[in-house]
Amino acid sequence: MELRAYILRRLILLIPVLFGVTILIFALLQLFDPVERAALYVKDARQFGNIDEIIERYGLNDPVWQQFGVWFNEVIHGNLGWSKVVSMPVTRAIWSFLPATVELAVFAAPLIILGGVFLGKKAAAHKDRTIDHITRAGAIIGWSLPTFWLGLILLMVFYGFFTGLLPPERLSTETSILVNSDQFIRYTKINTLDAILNGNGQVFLDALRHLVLPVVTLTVVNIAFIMRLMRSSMLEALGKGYIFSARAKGLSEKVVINKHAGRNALIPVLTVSGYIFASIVNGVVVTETIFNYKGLGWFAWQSAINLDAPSVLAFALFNGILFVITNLVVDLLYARIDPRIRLGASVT
Amino acid sequence: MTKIGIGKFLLMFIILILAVSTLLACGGPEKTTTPATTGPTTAPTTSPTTSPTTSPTTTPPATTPPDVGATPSKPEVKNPGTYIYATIGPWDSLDPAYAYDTASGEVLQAVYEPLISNWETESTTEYTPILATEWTVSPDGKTYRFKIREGVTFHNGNPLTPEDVEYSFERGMVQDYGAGPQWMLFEPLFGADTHSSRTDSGLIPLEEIMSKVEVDGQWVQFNLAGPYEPFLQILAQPWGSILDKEWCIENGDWDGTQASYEALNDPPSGGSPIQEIMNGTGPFKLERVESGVETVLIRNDNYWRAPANLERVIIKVVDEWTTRRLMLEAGDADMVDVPRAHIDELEGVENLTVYKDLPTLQNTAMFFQFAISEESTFVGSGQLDGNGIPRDFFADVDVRKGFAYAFDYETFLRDAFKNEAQQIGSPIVEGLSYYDPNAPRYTLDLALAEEHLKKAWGGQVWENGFTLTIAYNSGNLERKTACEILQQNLFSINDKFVVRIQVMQWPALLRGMYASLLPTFQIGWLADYPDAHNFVFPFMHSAGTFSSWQNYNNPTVDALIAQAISSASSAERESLYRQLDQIYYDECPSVQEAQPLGRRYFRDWITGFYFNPVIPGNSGNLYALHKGY
Amino acid sequence: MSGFKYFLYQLRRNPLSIAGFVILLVFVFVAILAPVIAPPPEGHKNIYQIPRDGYSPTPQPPSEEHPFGTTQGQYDIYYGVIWGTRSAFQVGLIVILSVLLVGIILGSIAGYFGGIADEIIMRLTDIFLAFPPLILAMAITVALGPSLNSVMVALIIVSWPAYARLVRGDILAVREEDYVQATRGVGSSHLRTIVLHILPNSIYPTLIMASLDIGAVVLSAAALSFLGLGAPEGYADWGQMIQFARNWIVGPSGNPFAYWYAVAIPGFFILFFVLGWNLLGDAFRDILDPRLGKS
Repeated sequence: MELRAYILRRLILLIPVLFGVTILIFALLQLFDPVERAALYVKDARQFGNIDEIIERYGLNDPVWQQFGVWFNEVIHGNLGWSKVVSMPVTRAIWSFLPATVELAVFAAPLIILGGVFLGKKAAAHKDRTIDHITRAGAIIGWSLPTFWLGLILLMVFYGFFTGLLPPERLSTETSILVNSDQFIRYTKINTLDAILNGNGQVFLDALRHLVLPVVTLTVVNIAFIMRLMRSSMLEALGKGYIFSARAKGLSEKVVINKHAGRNALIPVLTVSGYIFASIVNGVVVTETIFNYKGLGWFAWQSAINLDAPSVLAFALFNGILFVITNLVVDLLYARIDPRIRLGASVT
Repeated sequence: MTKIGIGKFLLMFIILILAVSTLLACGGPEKTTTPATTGPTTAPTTSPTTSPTTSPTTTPPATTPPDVGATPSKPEVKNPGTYIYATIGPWDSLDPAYAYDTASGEVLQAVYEPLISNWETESTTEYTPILATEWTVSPDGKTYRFKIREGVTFHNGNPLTPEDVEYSFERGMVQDYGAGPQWMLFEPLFGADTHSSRTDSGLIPLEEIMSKVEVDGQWVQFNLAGPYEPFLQILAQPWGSILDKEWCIENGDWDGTQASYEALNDPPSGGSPIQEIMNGTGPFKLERVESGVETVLIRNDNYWRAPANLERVIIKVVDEWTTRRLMLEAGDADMVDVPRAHIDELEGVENLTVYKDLPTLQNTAMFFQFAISEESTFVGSGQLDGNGIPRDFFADVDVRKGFAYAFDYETFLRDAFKNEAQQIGSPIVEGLSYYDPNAPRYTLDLALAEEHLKKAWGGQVWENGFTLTIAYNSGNLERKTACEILQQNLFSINDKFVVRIQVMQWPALLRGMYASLLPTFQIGWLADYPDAHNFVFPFMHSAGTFSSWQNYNNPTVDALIAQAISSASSAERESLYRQLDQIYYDECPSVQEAQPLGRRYFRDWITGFYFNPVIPGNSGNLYALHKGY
Repeated sequence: MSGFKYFLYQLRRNPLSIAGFVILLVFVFVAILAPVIAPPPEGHKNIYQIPRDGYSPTPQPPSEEHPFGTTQGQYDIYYGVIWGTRSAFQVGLIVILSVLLVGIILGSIAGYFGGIADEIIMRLTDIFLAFPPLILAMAITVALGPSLNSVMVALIIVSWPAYARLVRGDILAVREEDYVQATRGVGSSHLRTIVLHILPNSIYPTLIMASLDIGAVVLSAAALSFLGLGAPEGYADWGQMIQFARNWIVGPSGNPFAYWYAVAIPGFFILFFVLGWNLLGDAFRDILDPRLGKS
């Protein structure tokens, strides 16, 4: 009962957050001259002559409260507006880009988090020995590689050199035609999941094959983050009093590391893990661009650089919901792992 | 934590992925073959044999398929029957009356059809009948009549009628999207001063719009306000596409009433479902759209001509150049957009067909601002004291000429365009009717530049020097290079000439041009239709896009432009455009930097491409393409 | 053991820490000596603007005149990486110090006091986390113009909430510890409790993150450059130099590594800069953490 009330309370807090985000974006839009915002609607040199009409048409010169009023009125009627950058209603745009991103996150996040935790633990257990040095240096080198750099190299080797081995995009042309035909039902548009639901092994393998490079890129670049955090909080935990007593009790080193130190060391990792998952769902522009694996990141980027207000606003709302829920889940997990933290702590 | 360690789990996961990819690589269903290495060492290239000319009588033959060197073995054709084009930007709208960008035009031209075309061969002046079987133009040049083809059906099965044709044009003008292409119909039908349905005295009455296009049996008649030579060219473009009246009304579009006119006029993006769905008469049907990702067209087997060779066309948006390139090399794309800076990398790539030196109907120029806005922060002190420029600095023709002579056109073409561009004298680019290859032009001449700048402002410019800021948009290296060339050359003439270069995001730069903030700016134009009028107007007329931005106003020029477009005589038009060329040179309101030349890169299993500059996009006429050796 | 001896002892014990220390020292020298080892050409107005030798987009291999070759647009790679060291320190330190300051102050208030303060600060971080960073970066570069300052402002505004949350989370974990309860019991002031007892015991994950981030800021700047929102073209900035290499990573077919210098040299500098900060971060952690080091 207490838990349910807590969750409900946290979800109610979504409202001020979303409202705050919206206000901030409208405030930010005021930095731009109407002509700058009209640039969104000028897709071609030949439309330059129509800037006045565009400003008039989209009310770009109206007072900000009026623009906000118009937008808000539409939103409470369930209309988030039209995304100019992808030429479809914004709501549909988010739903159509979400599955690709979720699919990427579902494959990449466990690899990053579990891999990072595993390596961090290993490094901490062998502190200052060769295995520690190699793990750390390796992870840092991965971390130092600019994402597009690694992505393009991987693409060159596994798509260019081994022609067609691990291709970009989400599906190969043949499979894509099959997936979009009557013989295949796209329940979720998450290709691997749909393939399982349709019982189609060929589509599953094809989707998996296209996932390898983006997932590997994300993992290599991000694993150092978790690994280092795990290592340091593990070392810290190993220095704590209860570890001495555990050791003194004669528990095996394995149990000490995994059970006693490991559990406590996970707390900071957990916070960051939540963000890693959320930020992949939130879109990873560079990876999506390199592998032409279009998801929310690409959409958000296009919306931002084109100053597409309805798309940006809708994306920010999505972003807000995602983060509030992630935080909630992280806090709940905190309480589970470390009973000393009371849930009420973050609520008055 | 469970008993199974994370390490084991990870190991299993990695092994699984490796196993899957190896399996697929070895004998999976998508097996790919490595290209045979016996191809020719350099890609066979062809250039178009003819360029469009101004002569309306010549009929150049369609390009014969490029001469692909005889090779003993070729890689297996990937995705036979499906043409895959990787481009760089998504389309804006699928409504032919609304869309005004090339990415949309490309899809529209494959699905919808106009009455006539000037793009079925390489010539832009040779017309072929499409949905009209024949047409007549009255001797006074004011009445155009088209006989509508019978037996044509739309993709939904409805037959094409003359009413559909009438409806399509009237609907376009009724809708009249503010940033759309409809001004091109208002100008000929209502007179040169009308560019929109929205006038100072409210909307143009519906009856007036409806009186411009009339059905007469199997014929449809257009009533023009006066002679307008490029009218046929306008009708041949995507905005001249014919829609199904019944289908439009079913989808909530204009139903012919006044109320509907007022409701529909100037709709916002997404204002009509017709922006996302298509129902044309063309060789391809819209199968599926994932906007921003890919657009899939499928062959129309009930096409009124022979069905297309290609079964399917997939247009993909692939932003990253390296990804596009690798897709082309792997054969996963049949054609990709190649940025000019990277053409060298495709030298020597096997199994490609390259078409070079294609004169695109566009140009890029540097404009001088005659009256810089008070708000501008680009003029330093705002005075001719060496630390700034006065707001009317460029109103002095000697300043403009000094700048024009100080620009190194050759270096610019070589370094910014890799010589894939040509210098032109006037805004009328090659490929337009009334193009003059001998139009007078400026060349790099620092002595003459010095002479003009010494004369400018009664010698004050030379004596005090000046400081001004010029700008380019972030990421546009060509424009940046132009700025730097100008900066360096002016400094070398007189070290008191200080040009600062500033980079701006595109929206900020657009505002800088629009609001007269920038002392000079660089921008280019792309043809709507291949007639000189379409270029002299934006560059020289006081109401033209660029000249109005730069506050250039010459009543003589305005009169000459009006006279030229309303003349029914080709000879008279020719002479008027030559006069305009001369004025452009003498007054130098802007300088033509370059007319870019295009290239096209196809896999060599694609044949049937011919270059016609009015076809939107890079693939040429999709109906003519063929995949396979 | 005296502090200094202990420091030396730690350094000796951990060769990677020494490596990190040396790497950063080299970078510091390069940054300081930039005018000597890469003197700007005469008449060069802005020392952070990389000199250009022509305008052609294709990179040119190392030569006598350009020891590291030239990158896209004929910018001298040698000059760029040397002067870029200064930009890297500037951006990394300013951004991370600002973010740490804001993060620690807000995070400890939220974590320690809880209640209304926590609620307000956490909602504020929610709003900023929910805010798309790209629109922010775009807004700032349009408003301020593309410059290194815009990049720094954008990175600060985007990064502080994560730090605030991290500090808060760590403080929550420590707050209920016996020794904290004890200090509060003996009447220590809130500020004293936070600064002397809570922060030293909860700050490590945050400092580790910061040490990683100092190097990573250069990478973020590269990502912003990738999206067209970075420093102006030709500014001596590694992020931008590696972004210039983006289209040249894969050379012409038959010679895939033709432009290796344009790719590898700026990449090498970024790699070692990030590596140096990471290793040094570890060393500091080992040395500063009293319970861990002397156990």
